[in-house]
Amino acid sequence: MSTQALHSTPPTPRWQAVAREQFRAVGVAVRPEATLLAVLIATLSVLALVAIFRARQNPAHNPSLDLQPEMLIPAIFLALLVPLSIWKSEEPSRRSYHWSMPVDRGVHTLTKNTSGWVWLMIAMVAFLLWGLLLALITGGDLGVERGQAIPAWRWIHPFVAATIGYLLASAIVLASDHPWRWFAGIVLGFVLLTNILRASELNDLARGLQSLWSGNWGLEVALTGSTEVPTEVTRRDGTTMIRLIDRPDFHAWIRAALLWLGIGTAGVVAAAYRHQER
Amino acid sequence: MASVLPTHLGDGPFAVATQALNKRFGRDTALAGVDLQVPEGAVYVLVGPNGAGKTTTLRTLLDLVRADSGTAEVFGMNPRTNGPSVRAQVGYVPERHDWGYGWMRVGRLLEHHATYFPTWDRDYAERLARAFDLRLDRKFGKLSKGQARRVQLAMALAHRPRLLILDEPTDGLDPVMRDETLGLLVEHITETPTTVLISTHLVHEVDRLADHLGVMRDGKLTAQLRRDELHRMLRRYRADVPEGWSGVPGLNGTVVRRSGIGREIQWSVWGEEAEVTRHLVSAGATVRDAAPLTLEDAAIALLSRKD
Repeated sequence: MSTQALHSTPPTPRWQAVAREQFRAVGVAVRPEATLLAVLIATLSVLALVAIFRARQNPAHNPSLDLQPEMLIPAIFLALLVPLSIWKSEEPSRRSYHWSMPVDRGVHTLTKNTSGWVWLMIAMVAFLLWGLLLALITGGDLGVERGQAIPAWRWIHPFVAATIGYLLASAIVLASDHPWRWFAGIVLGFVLLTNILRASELNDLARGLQSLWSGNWGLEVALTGSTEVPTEVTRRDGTTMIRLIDRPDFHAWIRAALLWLGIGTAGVVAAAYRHQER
Repeated sequence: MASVLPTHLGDGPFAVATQALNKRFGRDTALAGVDLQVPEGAVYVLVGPNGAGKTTTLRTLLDLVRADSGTAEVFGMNPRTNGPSVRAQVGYVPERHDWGYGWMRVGRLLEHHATYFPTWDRDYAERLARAFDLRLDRKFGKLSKGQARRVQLAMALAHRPRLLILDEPTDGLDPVMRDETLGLLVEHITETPTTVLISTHLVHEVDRLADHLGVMRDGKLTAQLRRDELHRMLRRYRADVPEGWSGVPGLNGTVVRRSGIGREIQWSVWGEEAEVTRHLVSAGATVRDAAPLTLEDAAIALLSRKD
């Protein structure tokens, strides 16, 4: 190597190369869990198909598997666990390998986290296509509910809800060495505090806290895409009553979803750019 | 006669230069005014007991730890504001053996690492993998300490960085692999113009490599000097002294270590040989010899020096 080479500054990697590598590396990281999940889904699908075709031996029954957006709801819960898989063995106190790379640390962390999100979306699309295949095999309905086509936003909703779950979980995983404690602490703290406020007759405060979950802008609306609508229902004895029934509500959902997407993104960015020493 | 050990190396150019680095972890002082100076092209060995602040100093250079005050520069750049450019020039072997993705196979991990270093030399990486006898199909997290260390060394060397920061690089290696690793390091330095900063407890291992020595104790850099200066200025004097001898007042502050049996006394003294000998003779001692110290003996003498 020449003297000039000794004194020249070596180049840093191209961002595209890092992003591509992170995408591949995250794919390798989640492969064991994804394989396990795929095997589980395949097994359940086979069992369902066997049950359906057996039931059809009785001409009175014609069961099928319908293609509905609700089939993606488990993915929303799964999305909470995906960051744990992506950042396994890389708690903040053990992240010095990631931080020793010659790239901007915040961008690097966001790139890796985004790679995980892309894999999650790919997995959801694959699962949806699998559902389509099962619906086609069993002759089920394809995106139809009460005789009408399911609106487009309800197909998008599970992907957005999974994204919100993924972002919120990522913020905790990126910031803490003990994410499980935080997950449990947040849920328990929320329930306990709400009950303590109610018991103390601080109902306004309790309602304010509760609205974080079930209010018009609450996380529940963002995740489920539904709001409780007062609906008149008829009892068996012919009398009527008003009950709160969950109904899909695009406007409420998009409002809450945008808010929680913003909160999740802010949390992830703050955690990614926080300097942690180890 | 000078009464203090040198702690500055004069003018650069320095590959690494820190000024008055201070760092506390809670109540513990990790660094107390560290002025590290590693000349470009040097092989600088940093010694010190556990908890002396060696690892914290090295981590500061990669911005893995942020000093409370003071500055650090690597090739004239601040690791905090020019992190990516600094890290692109550094091959790092940390103290920890789990530095890398435990769930990745070794071959894949090397590939992953290579993506981040455009100067990665694939032929050299293959040569290192053979020399270190790396098992590319094994998961990194399943490797023994020694095997993991060899992978980390390959990762640090294969992109031929301008600066190697090696924190206990032979930790976990068996004696044969230690010898081979140091041989590879010598070869690397010969082939690639590199500055090397090594923190180690095993000073004798790096004796053939080192041309600068830094001594850390209690978060302070108590000595920092060139090897030739150490060789010239720090010597072990063996002398016979008369009965009832009262010592050498002129050597105050320059005696690094003193031991003796009967009337034969040994001193490790910092100073020009002629001057130290003159002081000893004038105090009534008969100087039998004055020998330079090996790097390890010098390190032990400097570390055991009473303030």
